[in-house]
Amino acid sequence: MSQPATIRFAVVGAGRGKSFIQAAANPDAGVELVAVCDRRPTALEQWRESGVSLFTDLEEVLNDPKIDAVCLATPVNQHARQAIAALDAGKHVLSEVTAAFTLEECWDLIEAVNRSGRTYMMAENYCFTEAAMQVQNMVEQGVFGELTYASGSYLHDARNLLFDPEGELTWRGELRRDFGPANGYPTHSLGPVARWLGINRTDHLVTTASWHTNSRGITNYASRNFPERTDYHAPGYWAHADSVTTHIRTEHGALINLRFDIASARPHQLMRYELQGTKAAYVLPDGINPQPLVWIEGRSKTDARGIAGNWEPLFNYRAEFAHPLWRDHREAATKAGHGGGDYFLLREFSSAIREQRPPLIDVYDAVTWSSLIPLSLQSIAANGAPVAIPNFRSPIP
Amino acid sequence: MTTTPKKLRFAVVGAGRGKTFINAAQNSDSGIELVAICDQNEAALEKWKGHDGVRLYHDFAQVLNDPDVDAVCIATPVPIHARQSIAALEAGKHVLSEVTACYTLEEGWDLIAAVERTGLTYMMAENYCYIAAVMQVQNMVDQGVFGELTYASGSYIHDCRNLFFGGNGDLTWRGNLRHDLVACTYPTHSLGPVARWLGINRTDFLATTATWQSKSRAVADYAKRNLPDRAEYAADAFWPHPDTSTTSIRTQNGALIDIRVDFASARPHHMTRYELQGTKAAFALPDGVGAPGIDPLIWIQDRSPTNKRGIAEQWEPLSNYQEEFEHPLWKEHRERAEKAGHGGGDYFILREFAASIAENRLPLIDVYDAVTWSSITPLSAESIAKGNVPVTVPNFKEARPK
Repeated sequence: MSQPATIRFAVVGAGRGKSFIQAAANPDAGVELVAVCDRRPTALEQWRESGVSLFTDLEEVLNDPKIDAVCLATPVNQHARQAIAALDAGKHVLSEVTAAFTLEECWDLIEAVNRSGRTYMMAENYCFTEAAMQVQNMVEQGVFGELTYASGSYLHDARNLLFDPEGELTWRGELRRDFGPANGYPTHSLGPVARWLGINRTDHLVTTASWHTNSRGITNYASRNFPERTDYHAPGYWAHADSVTTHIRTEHGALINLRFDIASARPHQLMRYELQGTKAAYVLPDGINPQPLVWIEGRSKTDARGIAGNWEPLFNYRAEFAHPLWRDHREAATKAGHGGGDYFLLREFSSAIREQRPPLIDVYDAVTWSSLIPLSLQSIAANGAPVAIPNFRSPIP
Repeated sequence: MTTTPKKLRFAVVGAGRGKTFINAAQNSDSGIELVAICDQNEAALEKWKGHDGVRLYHDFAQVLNDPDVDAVCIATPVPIHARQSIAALEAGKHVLSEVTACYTLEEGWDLIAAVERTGLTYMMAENYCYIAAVMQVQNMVDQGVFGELTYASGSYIHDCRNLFFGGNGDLTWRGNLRHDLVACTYPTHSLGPVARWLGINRTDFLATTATWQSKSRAVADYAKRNLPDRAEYAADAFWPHPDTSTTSIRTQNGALIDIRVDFASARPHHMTRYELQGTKAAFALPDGVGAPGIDPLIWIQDRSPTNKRGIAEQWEPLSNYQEEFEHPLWKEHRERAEKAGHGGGDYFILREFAASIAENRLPLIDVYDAVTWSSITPLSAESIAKGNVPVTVPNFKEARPK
């Protein structure tokens, strides 16, 4: 086996980037951490003695010839512009989710990848959880038959992240004040679902519509926690809707449902999924300690009439259907952050660069999944009207 | 046999589904006397022969012509509910109709007109509204525990493919439905409880809706395996009804409702999957192992567990709050209700039906609720046919459009 050149890796955004920094420390990840960048010098403090270069300006990272690849773990609405700048500076890019906020940014990003010939991957770590990957393996082996329906919900009361301790808005807070109503964070829900359905491979997203609730959750939180900030309590201050439901139809007639809610008072479930095939069904529900569940025709219990009986734990089928990556790397993966996701992401990113192939989550997937942000905004503004989803592999309009 | 003249003389039409109403009527403290059972099918009446004072009919017209019947329970195939209800009202009978109330908007308006014209009582028997957990949530909503309601969902997921085919392999009325309709065809078990929580037709109204549909695969797949000699059933195109559909509804006050109906996909059933989100509390009845004994879950601000930052941490079983918030009807009648069918629903429904007639008031699920909830079927058909566009939900309390 030829020894590949080391990929010299910089992490931009030392907060969210921390778990990538940790994952990079594993030699298996295939990258060598050479730089960390953050606008806030205090965020760099803990890396001072580590021997890696420290930067406070993305520009400096992009100008450093000793850096091959950057990981963008910055505020979400800067990802696209930063990724394009990095590609144009000759760096490979691993971008945190989501990839883009507007359709224009989606097309620009594709163009930049094609122009630069560099590798771009979106770091959608939920695609790499053990359950999501076992389901992926079962789908690929035909256990589910033909897929007809899938859903993904990201339900995460994150209202505390909208305010700093003094009660000023963080970038997340400003985003919720200014942007919406829309499905502002679709990829954790859509990513695994799109992979199961073979989106951008054997099927394509065609049309979508989104429906929204009123905005009440953030106002309610602010009036309890920042009673003196009456500006936060005013009707209309928050553009964000508490909850958004998104419907998507694929070219082959499968139906996808997404739900996005980061402002309602309820226990979180960031990974609520359903997958329905003609031969099996999968669900990861709400619950007190919820478990991934599966029902498989011809294997799971049926009643006297041959109709599905009860769910089984998905991991009853681990010995038979564990994804090969999880089978081989369970220990390293579970040591890394985000349920193993960051470990597999770095491995895949570095392998794709070395093997000069598109990564598992390439720029077309990244923008297709992220395009639900602008498309949901557009649909909601038109009172739930369906809108066409661009095929991002076709020529730029 | 003792009869008091005040008892409501009650006929059940459709002895199959009607069985639990017959049981409930016989064991009721609600002032109902079962006087007749009607079924087209002779065999279905066999077991009621020799029941003192219960007349047996084959023909619905006989029931309507019987002057000693005050009220009829319509437990017949869904597509004929509206026309039978209208005929019964016109014949001077009060009507308790099984779900759903109607299949077209025309039928819905006709049903309302018949109720208004006759002045008789019409109630839809949406028994899921009376499930103990649903009613406890109702009580908590009424007492302000949830704060302002922002979101709710209801799903009816029930693999019923075995009911689509008769013993000879011919289509039953349910099977014909899969052949004839492209719509959300059974919305009331999901929408009924949700609409009651949200005060629909009281303090809020359904405004717009759209429905999205999956492809159809499950029925052909089932037929291929179970009825291999019926070649026509093997084609997906024979079954235009989608395997699954999802419907979003926005209310006038800006709440969002999601409905999912799927009675064909191969998976364990969950007929009562609900979510309710308020500014101060959340309720969920999720999928899980142990159906139908899945635990309803609740989280309440300032009562349920939070993390250090004051953010909701973990669900609690709804039963933690049973003592404080159990619905008064369940508190009083639990034992009798549990003995009746459908999780107590049929017992409470008969009680409410008889009480509303005796008290000369609208029943809890009146004709406006029945038609509003059922209207999702024709509205979903229209939305799907036009490419999933949003359509306006009529306000059935207003004048019928010309």
